[in-house]
Formats: sequence, C-alpha cells, structure tokens
Amino acid sequence: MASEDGSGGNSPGQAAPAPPEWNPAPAAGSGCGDVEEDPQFQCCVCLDLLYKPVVIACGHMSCFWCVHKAMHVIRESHCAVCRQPYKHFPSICQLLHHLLIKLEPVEYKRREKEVLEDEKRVDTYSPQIIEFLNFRSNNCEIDGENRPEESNSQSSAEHLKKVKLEDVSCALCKELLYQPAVLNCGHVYCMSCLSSLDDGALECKVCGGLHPGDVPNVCLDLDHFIEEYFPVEYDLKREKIQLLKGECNIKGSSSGTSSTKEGGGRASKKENFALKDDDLSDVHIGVGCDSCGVYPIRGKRYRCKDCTELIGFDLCEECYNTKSKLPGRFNQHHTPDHRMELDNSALLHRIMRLQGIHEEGPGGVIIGEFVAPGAVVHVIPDDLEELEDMGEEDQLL
Amino acid sequence: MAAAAADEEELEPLFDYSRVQPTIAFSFDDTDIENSDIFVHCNKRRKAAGVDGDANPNGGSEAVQNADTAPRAAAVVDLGEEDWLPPPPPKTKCTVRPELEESSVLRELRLQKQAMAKFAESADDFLEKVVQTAKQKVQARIPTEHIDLDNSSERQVENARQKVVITIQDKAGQQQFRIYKDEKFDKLFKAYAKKVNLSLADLTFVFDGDKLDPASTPEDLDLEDEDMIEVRHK
Amino acid sequence: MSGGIARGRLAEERKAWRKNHPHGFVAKPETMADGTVNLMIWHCTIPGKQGTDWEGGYFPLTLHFSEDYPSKPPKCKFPQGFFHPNVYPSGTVCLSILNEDSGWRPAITVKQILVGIQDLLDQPNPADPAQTDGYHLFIQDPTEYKRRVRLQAKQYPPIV
Repeated sequence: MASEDGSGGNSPGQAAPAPPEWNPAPAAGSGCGDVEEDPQFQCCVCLDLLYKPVVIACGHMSCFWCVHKAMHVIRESHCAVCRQPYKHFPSICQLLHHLLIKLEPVEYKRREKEVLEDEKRVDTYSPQIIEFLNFRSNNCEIDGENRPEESNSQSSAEHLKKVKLEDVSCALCKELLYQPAVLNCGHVYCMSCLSSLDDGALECKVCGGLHPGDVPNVCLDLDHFIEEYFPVEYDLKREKIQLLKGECNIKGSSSGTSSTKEGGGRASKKENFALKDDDLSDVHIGVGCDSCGVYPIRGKRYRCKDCTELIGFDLCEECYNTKSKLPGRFNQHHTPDHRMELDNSALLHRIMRLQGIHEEGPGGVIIGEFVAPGAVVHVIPDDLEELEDMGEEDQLL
Repeated sequence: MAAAAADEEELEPLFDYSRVQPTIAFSFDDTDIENSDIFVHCNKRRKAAGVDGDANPNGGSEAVQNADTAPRAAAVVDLGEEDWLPPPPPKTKCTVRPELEESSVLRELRLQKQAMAKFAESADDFLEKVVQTAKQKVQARIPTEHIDLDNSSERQVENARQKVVITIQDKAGQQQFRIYKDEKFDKLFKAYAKKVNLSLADLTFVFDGDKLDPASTPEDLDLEDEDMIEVRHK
Repeated sequence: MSGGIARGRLAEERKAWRKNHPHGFVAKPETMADGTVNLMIWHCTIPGKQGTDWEGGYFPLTLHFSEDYPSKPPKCKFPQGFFHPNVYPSGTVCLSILNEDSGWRPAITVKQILVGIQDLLDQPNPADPAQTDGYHLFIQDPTEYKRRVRLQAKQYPPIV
C-alpha cells in the first residue's frame, strides 16, 4: 500500500519511461503472417474500419469525419492517439484509401454506405471521388472533383487484384515506400525522400501543395503493413536507404510520437499561427480553409458567394492570395470563377459581443466542440458539476 | 489492455501501466490474446472478407465459405460473418401464406361483388371503393404477415442448428467452447469443470456481472459468437 | 456536420468488451425500464487489485458519456462519499487521463479507463487531492488509511 511510506504513487496515467512489453497471453501463433489482422487499420476514434483515412502530421490516422468532427472549433486540435497539436485538417490519404478498398472490399463498402447515409442526413459530404495520383505529377486535383460514375466502374475492376507494389510506392522515388510519411495534401513519400525535398517550404511533388508546418512523422501503421506485406522488398529497400543515407535521419524520425525535426517556421503560414492562445478574437469559429485545411481560420476569411453547399467554401487569406484551384474539401462544386467575399460573421469577438461577453478572452467559456456549418453557436458556461468539483478542490488546498 | 494494442505502442509514453502488469495474474492485453490461437475467431470476420474479398468483392457470406486461402477463417466458416446482427430472414417460405391470405380476401371480395351486383348500377361506385379499400387492407397486411413468418421460421432454423462459440475466461486465461444456442449452460459448465479438473460446485459462471443460471441457454441471453463468460473459483 | 459518433463508438466499445475484457471487471450499458439500452451510461465494476488492501472489493463505477465522446472523456463516478484521495465527495474520479485538457485522448478505450482507475485505487496521486478525508488520512495516518480502505473493500463484496 502506498500509504506506508506516505510519499504515495506517481500521478497515474502520466508519462513514464516506455515499459518492456509484458505479454502474459499465450504467444502461440500470434503476429507472424497475420498481415490483415483487424486492429491494423482500425480507426482509434470510432473503433471501426478506417474509412477515407486522414493522416495527421504526427503520423496517426483516423477516418475523415472522425478527425474533422473532433477538431477544435476555436483552437488547435490534438491527435486522438498522442495529443500532439495540429492546426490543419489534412486531405484524405489517397494511397491508404485505395489500399483499404483492396484489402477490405466488403467492409469498406459497408462503411461507405453507412457514412453516405450520415452525410445525406446532414447534407454535407466528404470527397466522393478520391483519385490515386501518385504517378501523375503536376496535377492539382486531389479530391472532391465531381466526375460521374465512370471512374467508379474502372476502379472496381482494379479491386479484383491484390495489393501490388505500385499501390504502396513513394511518389518521388517510385519504389516501395520505406518509412512512409503523409503530407497535408494526403500524398505519401518515403521519409528519406521527403528529407531530400526539405529545403525551405515542403512542396508536394504530386499536387504542388505546400505542406504547412514541419516534416510529418512516419505513419507507423502503414509502415508496419508494408513491412509485413512485402517483407523481402521492404528489407531490400531498407538496406538500400541505409547504404545511401547512413544512419542519419532514419532512426530519429521513426518513433512516431513527437520526433519531428524541430525545423522552426518553414512555411510563412506557420507564423500566422505563432500567436498565443490568449488572443483568439480573430478566430473564425468552426470555419476551415478549403485549400490548406487550416481549422479554424484566423485573420481574414474569404467566403464563396456562389457555392450553394451547406458547408460553404472558405479560404484563409494566404490561400485566397495564391488563388487556389482546389474544388473544396467537402465535395463542393467550387470553381475558380466563383466570387469570393471577405466574411467576418463567425469571428469569435463578434459572437462574444452578441452574447454580451467582454472581450477579455474566452476564459471559462466553452464552445460546442463542433459547429455545424451555418449553425448558431451557443456559448455556454462550464459544466456546473465540474465547477463544483473545482470548488471542492480549491477549498482543500 | 493496459499497454493497449500492439499498434499503439506509440501510446505508451503517455499512458503507461507497466507497473501494474507484473502483479496481475491475468492478461488484459487484447492484441496478444486476439493474435493467439484461442482467439483466432475474433479476427475472422474481416480477415476472411479481406482475403477472399479480393477475388469476390460482393461475395458476402459465400465469400467466407470459400476462404480456402485463409486457413484460420476456413476453420470457423460456419460461424458466418454476422456476429452482431441476426441473420437475414429466409425468404423462401414467406410467399405462401400471404398468397393464401390474399386469395381468401379476394374470394370474399368476389362474393361481395356478386351480391353487390344485384343492386342498382349506382352501387358500382360504392363497390369500387370497397374493392379498393379491401385491397389496401390486404396490402397493408402483407408486410406484417411477412415479419411474423420470418421470425418464426428463423427461430425454427436457429433452434435446429445454430451453434455459438463462447469464450470462458478464468484468471489464468481463456478457452473457447462451441455449443448449441438453445442448449442449457449446464452442459457447458460440466464440460468446463471436467476440463479444468474442478468440481462444478466450486465454480461460478458470470456474464456481464450476473451469475448464469445453468438452466438458461445462450439464446436466452442473446449471446453472440465469442462472447465471454467469466468463471470465478470459490 | 451535426451528430457525433458517440453512439457508434460506444457500440463498438461494447462489442469489443463482450468479446474480451480483463477478469473480474464488468462494463455494461444501462438498460432502461422498457428494456431499451442506453449506450450513454455504463454501469461498471472494478475489482480491487490482488495483493493490495483493495483486494476483495468489487467497486461500482458509473461512466457518463456525452454526445461529444470520444472527443471528450466520460465522467466516471463511484458512489457518493467513496473513500479515496482522488475521488471528489460527489464520487467523480479525478485522474489525468480523464481530464480533457491534460491526459484524455479519444484513442483511450473503456477498458483502459477501467484499468487506469483500478490502478489509481492503490496508487493515489497526492499531488491532486479531491477529498479531505481520504487525502489527510493518506498523508497523516497510514494505518488508519489502510484500515478504512480494507473496510471499504468489505462494503463492496462480489455480487455473485
């Protein structure tokens, strides 16, 4: 009993050095050869099969909607697995999406049906056409471009084949992915290839999109899958890379949690967000940029006057100035000739003024984790019981 | 549990129960259990779908049956893939009685029609209305008839054949048993006691925190494949 | 998008729990009077760990999930007045992994929560007291603390 010495235990659940794996379960038949074991491509948020997977900069992935619904409407969001903060809603990882169609055709179809029903209910859609463009350079369409059924039937013929090497190959070296990392645009590169690109802004060679922030971490789930599925090729690639690069950059970037290179501000975008949390009055609550994915938008926000979709089409100032040609992240039918206008309607300080709250800051104010597009934002005080508990604690100390 | 699934090794720095584990005589590490032989069934569904789904994307349950490429899946084919939902109702038998129903109602209608025809022509409008409403009634009745039939025939099929795989966990580990859904737990408990060399009187079987009545059946409790029963030693 | 994924996730949690969970633990969604299941409230039992003063106790715990789950953690409550330094008088458990602003991550499962709380029982965190009674005895009178813990374990015998 910890009471014996009075010093008590450690804070439970807090960080501790990584423990050795202790496996009391019978190990017979575990692991080896189990390439398609369930948890491998399970979403850690909904605990179902990943659907339209999105890979965050920390290398962890969830479903498109699981990530988007969990993003914080006012502040930066945190990874569901490791709590690493992130600000951009990444595009769907096309490679993983097509990989899952091949690996789990039946279950993936089921998920598609379920998700589509939900989407119909709220009349807001995830990208419906997700093209796998790893090999076509300089093509800007990532997702959302609405093209009729023909590409569907073509891809369903593809599903009949098993996963092939080119399904999991790097957009740059065209070889099997080794320690893959996924950019904000959803395109996948070997970590070693990515570091070779790493001069100033990290620009995707497939779509030309600028990756905001630091070099992403290795997507370990994908890495493990490739290692198990193509063991021979993976080993060959590993040897090759180690020969080429020596030890540098490889081990260090593979731990998966928080080992991004501390490169400092790369994209100018990052500086926009260097602001501390204390001033949130320029935040557009629950509004994200349809180009770079930053969520929520801070500073100037441009809204499309011609897009009729419920969720609308918005750009942050930077993407507005670079004249993004992307069609939108929620299957909007936005085209470059649509008219954009400056929009301040969802700014936090406006809302606070409406609610009669002073602008000192949003301390003690919780805003619903997710705001439906165009919905009224309710500003509500903290959970009452939580307050009571806090009170109890204060008395005590 | 504790150290969580293997694919979450990156989880450990933030969430670590390493100091708990050695003192516990049983396992909560799912992945190891699920990967191990005793738990192969658990991964079966998606695995089977994944393996032969490549060859047969719309295959559904036949796909599972054909899963020769997945030896483990093949070992448990008869479990089917719907461990969460009840199997779809068989559709063959349902057609019979609705037809009977319909024809008997129609027969009535015809008689009614003959009787009505004797009346003046002005009655025709009325007759048509009767026919229409009657038809609507028939149509309205068909679906409910369907459901009743489906349920009963489905139950009969289950009663006759369906088995369920049940995991029994004690402090040391797990074992799986396959029993009929309508068979009393009594038999399972006895088999288990024999296997572990303990007297049945010393064992308590628990599901969801409630003691299991040996006279009840898996069906009574809506047990599904691989549901876990705990056994506690007195 | 309106409509969270709380229920879908909880259904998956329940599914996984039925198929495998640590021995001695119970976790089941509330069943209403009319027989329907309310996935948003779970009634659980946490067994005291073997070899500790908590052994022999089967402690009832209720998990209250919100529609924001798993973005937000469930509220975990022991019965009112539960004796433990990190349990508020209301019964609410104070644990870093259950705090949205510090340790909670949506990837944490119900199983991890329950095992985490079992862990907390025997290893209280004196840096984060939540009740006077348990905290003061824990710090000042280890013998009495031990006695109270053992007494409480006897108050919650196994139901079966």
